Amino acid sequence: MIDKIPKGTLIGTIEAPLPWIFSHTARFVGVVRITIQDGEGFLLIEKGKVRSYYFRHGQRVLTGHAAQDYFSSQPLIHFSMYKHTPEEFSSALIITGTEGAAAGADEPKAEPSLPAAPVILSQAAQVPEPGAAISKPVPAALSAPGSPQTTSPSPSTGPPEIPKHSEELVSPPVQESVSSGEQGLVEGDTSAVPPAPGAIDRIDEKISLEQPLAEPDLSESPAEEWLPDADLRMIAQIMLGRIKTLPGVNAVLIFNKDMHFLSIGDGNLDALVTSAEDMLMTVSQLDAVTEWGSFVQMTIQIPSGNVIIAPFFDEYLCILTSPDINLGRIRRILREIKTQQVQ
Amino acid sequence: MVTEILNKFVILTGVTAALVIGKKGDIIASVKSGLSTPEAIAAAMSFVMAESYTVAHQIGKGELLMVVIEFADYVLIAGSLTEDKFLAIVAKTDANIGQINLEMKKYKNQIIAGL
Repeated sequence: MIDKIPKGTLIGTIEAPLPWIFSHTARFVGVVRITIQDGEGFLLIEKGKVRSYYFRHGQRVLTGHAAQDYFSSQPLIHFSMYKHTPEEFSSALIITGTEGAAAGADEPKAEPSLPAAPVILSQAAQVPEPGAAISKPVPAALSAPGSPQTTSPSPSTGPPEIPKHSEELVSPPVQESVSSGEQGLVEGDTSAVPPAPGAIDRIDEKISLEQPLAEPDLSESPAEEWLPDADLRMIAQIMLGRIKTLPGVNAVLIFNKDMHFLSIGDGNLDALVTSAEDMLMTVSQLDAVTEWGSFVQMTIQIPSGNVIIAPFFDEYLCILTSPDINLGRIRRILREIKTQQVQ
Repeated sequence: MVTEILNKFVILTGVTAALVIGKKGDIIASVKSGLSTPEAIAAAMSFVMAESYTVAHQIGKGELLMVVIEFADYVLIAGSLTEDKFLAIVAKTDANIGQINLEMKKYKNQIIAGL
């Protein structure tokens, strides 16, 4: 199914937890293509509402809540965002069998009682369409308390653990918010494999990820006031997230002459922005009296790390790093931004 | 003596100027080839260094190691010598910045001694 989804226009590639995607796609319409180790999948998103979840690893396919749970279990997801035209998005909805469904219907938070059963299919079984299996809720008996899968921790960094059996998706008694209609369902998989250890941990991780993130929610920032262009704002947020995920990066912020800024990470950013503004003004004077070309970036090295300041479209980007950061990698990203600006 | 040491920078590939600049933007010593506006550069750099110290205080313990300002064709590298003096190197972007950095550390004490 992945290959049939219209490609769209690449906006950016990033690593972030699943909730980040929800909080940064308020105006996004398109497909978020996800890679988790050897598996791949996608989310179809229409202005912040997930219309379809899909993940495939080898012969196994997850859709709906099963795919969502799996994505939620990952601390970080590597994904690329592709913007769709209305035609492309309509086509994608048809391909996934979700055309006509209410926006957000595939998202349990929006429609908790909807019996959109997750599907775990062997690709040998011929039911890749998610809608085909929705009418088969899992018997409540499968969620018997005290089942073996309610224990056993599992590291989330191991190889992808695609549930092989419906019981793995059964919620434990502690997760009361998940109705039986949302439980997993197996078709085409006859191998009676014991439940993978860690099924419960994945659910627990999902719960914890649904808590407010420690990082500031960009959707609540004043970005709309000074970055009125939605596409530019999207690029800004993706670039921020992308840089923030680099090892050694402590904080990233975007600011402009009015000192409005958008940030991810820790640090006393207000005071830093004031100094950065003054330095940039001076550097622009230097730019005027020399023939050194346009300003590319400034790095302030101190024992506890680095402060990197660079133009970002009509604004400026400021990156706080630890001392052991790979400055070359950041410079490469800054050059990419420069290239995008030229385009 | 300081000029002799600054000459060791200018012979490095891509380096066009080496200057010792005071806190108020005064040029204390310099060796340059083809640098047309050293006074303006010194004045601007003294301000940038002062602000960089402010940043260093805000996010660290106040010690400033180096400031690198990169333009499309040139790069400006400044390192602190004493509380009120710093060394600034102007180089083309194809210069070996790592080597310049090493040389700055290597000759720092000699330059201070010669001031």
